[in-house]
Amino acid sequence: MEISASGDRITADLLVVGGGISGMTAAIEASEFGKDAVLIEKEPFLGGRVVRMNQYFPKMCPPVCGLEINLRRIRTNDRIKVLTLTEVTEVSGQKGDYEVTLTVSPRYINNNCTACEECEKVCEIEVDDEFNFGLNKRKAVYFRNMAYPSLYVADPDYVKDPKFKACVDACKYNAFDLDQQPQTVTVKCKGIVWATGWKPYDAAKLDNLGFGQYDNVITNVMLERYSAEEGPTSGKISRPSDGGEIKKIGFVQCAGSRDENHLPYCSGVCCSASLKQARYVRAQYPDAEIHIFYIDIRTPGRLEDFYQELQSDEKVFFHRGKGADIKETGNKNLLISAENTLTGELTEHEVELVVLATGMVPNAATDKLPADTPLDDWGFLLPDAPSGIIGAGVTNRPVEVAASVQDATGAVLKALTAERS
Amino acid sequence: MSTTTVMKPDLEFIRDLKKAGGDTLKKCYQCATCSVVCNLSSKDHPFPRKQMVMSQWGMKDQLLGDPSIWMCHQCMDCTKNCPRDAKPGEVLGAVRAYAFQHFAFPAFMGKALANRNSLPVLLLIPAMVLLGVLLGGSSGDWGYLFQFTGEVELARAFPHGALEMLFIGGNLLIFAFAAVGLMRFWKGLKAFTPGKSGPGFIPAFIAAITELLTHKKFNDCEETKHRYLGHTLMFWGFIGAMATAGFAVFFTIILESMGSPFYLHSPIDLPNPIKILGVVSGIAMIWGGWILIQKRKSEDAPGVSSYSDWQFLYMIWFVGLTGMLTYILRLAGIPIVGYAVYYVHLVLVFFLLWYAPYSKFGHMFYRTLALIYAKSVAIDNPRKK
Ligand SMILES: Cc1cc2nc3c(=O)[nH]c(=O)nc-3n(C[C@H](O)[C@H](O)[C@H](O)COP(=O)(O)OP(=O)(O)OC[C@H]3O[C@@H](n4cnc5c(N)ncnc54)[C@H](O)[C@@H]3O)c2cc1C
Ligand code: SF4
Ligand code: SF4
Repeated sequence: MEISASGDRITADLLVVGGGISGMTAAIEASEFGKDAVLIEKEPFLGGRVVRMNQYFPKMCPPVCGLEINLRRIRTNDRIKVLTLTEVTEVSGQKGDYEVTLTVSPRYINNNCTACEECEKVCEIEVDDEFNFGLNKRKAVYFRNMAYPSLYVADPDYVKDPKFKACVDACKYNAFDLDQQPQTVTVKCKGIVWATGWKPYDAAKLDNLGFGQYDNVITNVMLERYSAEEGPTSGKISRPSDGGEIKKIGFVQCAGSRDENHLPYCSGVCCSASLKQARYVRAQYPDAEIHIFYIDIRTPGRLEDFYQELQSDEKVFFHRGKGADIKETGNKNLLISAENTLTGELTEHEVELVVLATGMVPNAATDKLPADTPLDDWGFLLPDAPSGIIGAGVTNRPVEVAASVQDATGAVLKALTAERS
Repeated sequence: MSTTTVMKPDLEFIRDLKKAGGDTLKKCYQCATCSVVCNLSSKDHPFPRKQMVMSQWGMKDQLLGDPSIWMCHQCMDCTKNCPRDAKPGEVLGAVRAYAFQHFAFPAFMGKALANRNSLPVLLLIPAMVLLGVLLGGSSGDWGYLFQFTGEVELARAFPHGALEMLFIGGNLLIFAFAAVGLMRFWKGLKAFTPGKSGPGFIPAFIAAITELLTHKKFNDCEETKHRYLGHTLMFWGFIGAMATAGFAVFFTIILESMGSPFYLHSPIDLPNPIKILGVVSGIAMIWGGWILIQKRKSEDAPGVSSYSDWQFLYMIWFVGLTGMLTYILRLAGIPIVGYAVYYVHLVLVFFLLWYAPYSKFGHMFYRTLALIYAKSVAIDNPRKK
């Protein structure tokens, strides 16, 4: 990899946009073929959405296990250059010869940082923590798991705040650099892999399901944070309204997915995700009843085993018929209405907590993409884009980690054989 | 022991439903959102999810023997919320349109009313009959019909006696024909929707009639709330107009022939309560019909309307309109236009009445019976009280 003395010009083989599991895999695979890769990520940390999971199916291990191995491989690899807090501003050229302009946002903290926490301790500015979907507050200077490089980061909205000075003063290592400016970097490369992943569908748009209206209706991604030990409740699953325990919990599948009024496609992973989450609840509340309302359970391939295991669990109840209406009762419990399509009766189930199994929306659907990179009707990247840009992972299809990883490997090959076409 | 049920899908039926406005029925994937969001859907016998799969499978007899088809008031809450855009509200509407044909006796009348190409012929029949009345009544003296000013003597052009004969005679015949279809319908209900043990016929009858008169179910709709007002106005306006005609006959013809001192001269005019009733009813019909037509036409109408919907709605609205117009022209004293409008009015009135069992007008019979049946076997238990 050729990097100019000032660091603002890089020549490499591959540019990977998005540092989630797909992007990390793509960069590592390229390096293993002996190619140089630049991996850019707009957040200050790598790992993408997977970092926000408590455990991941099918093996039910904490995601950092897998991610940290990848992180180590990236750190020790000369062929990979990582730029976080970085986004693409312009792409020109074509397959085999691109010139890409990047903008690197200031972190306001330099390599002197030892992650000693002093600045964070004294910081008086608290804001909603977007990482935990606003379930808790974070300081205006903070640290993230999987941060790359492994440094603190300052919130750009608050560095000019008079109260921020206390943080700067608390640092013994002179690590704050509030004069940092956005930097422009140009990458010359042969191939581009686009792996910007997904965001959860906005559950507030689901009129009948009460999200944002009733305290005890949460989404599946929020439940991951509630369940995670390093999460806002230190891993305790409880009712947001009063922190109360759970005797009955309801999962509403296809919340906004397979729905012409919302996401017309099946998000593919949310059935397995709810089955996984049923286990979290089961582990914390052995006596709690788990009610899953579904149209049909979609657990492709080996994930079917995962489903069958839970089917034989006497505390897990599967209801065929969409949870189509949710109302709050006086004690902040929730009534889930559905038609049991096996018995043909309308039913109401009262539960303490409702989890909406919302789907995945590709970020590409709302991002500005380089020219000639067409999307399908739903915002997934189409293959054979005239621009030569190759998608990977959830950018292409709503899939789980294993499929994203496979997809990323294929994407690297396609992106680097650009010269052929 | 398990039993095997052999399904015999009626493909012709599926095709007909699609033509009658149910072309989206195959999109349904049985999620049951519709049965939950519908405020009229019954706890023990929800709809329209199950009726969607019955339509897809061409289960004609089961479907036509299901009172849910008529408990549906096409509120469109289901259609708005359906994740597949399968338009369950329209599909049930198409099943109802099909039912008019299916139960029609004689059968060709059902076909004729469902086919827009037959409309001219269907109109021609009352048009010719009424022309006959006009010719007979005027007995060769046409001059008064073509005056631009002067008195409008409606009873001279169309003598009440002749109209009453057509009205009463026609209705007797029509009710006899309708009864054949309704009996078939009732038998189907019993065969295919056994239900549970319920309160029995009389209490069910009273409950159903009360509900129909108060339009309770319309009031429970969410997506199409405006229809509560529109349909109530139209319904009571129509009943009021019929009552006006009945009173008029009673006071001007029957009492006169009995030599009663209470008889009234035709035409009855304001401020007589009978005329007040007539005017108010006419206005209600025009206003109610206007609401219904506008909403069905508007861009954000939650559902699409079929030929049978439009045919009926426009007919009954024009009946109200031409009735009021006739009255105004009589007061204004413009004979030539007055007689013409009155003629059109009468043609449309007889179109509606004579074809009632075969057109959407029939929904009043079918819905009433279905509701009585559903209540008598205790399956009309909407979630919303
Ligand atoms: C509730 C839920 C639970 C799940 N649980 C599991 C599970 O247990 N097991 C499993 O295998 N899968 C699970 N999944 C699926 C899993 O999350 C995805 O397969 C995985 O996140 C895909 O990785 P990705 O790299 O393609 O996308 P992402 O994880 O979304 O990563 C994309 C990265 O790109 C970055 N980015 C976005 N836009 C830009 C930009 N413009 N410029 C630069 N960078 C950008 C993002 O910040 C992010 O870091 C679950 C999904 C859901 C919804
Ligand atoms: S994976 Fe399951 S919950 Fe998610 S959209 Fe598909 S069917 Fe619905
Ligand atoms: S009609 Fe629509 S809402 Fe009803 S079951 Fe079918 S797909 Fe679901």
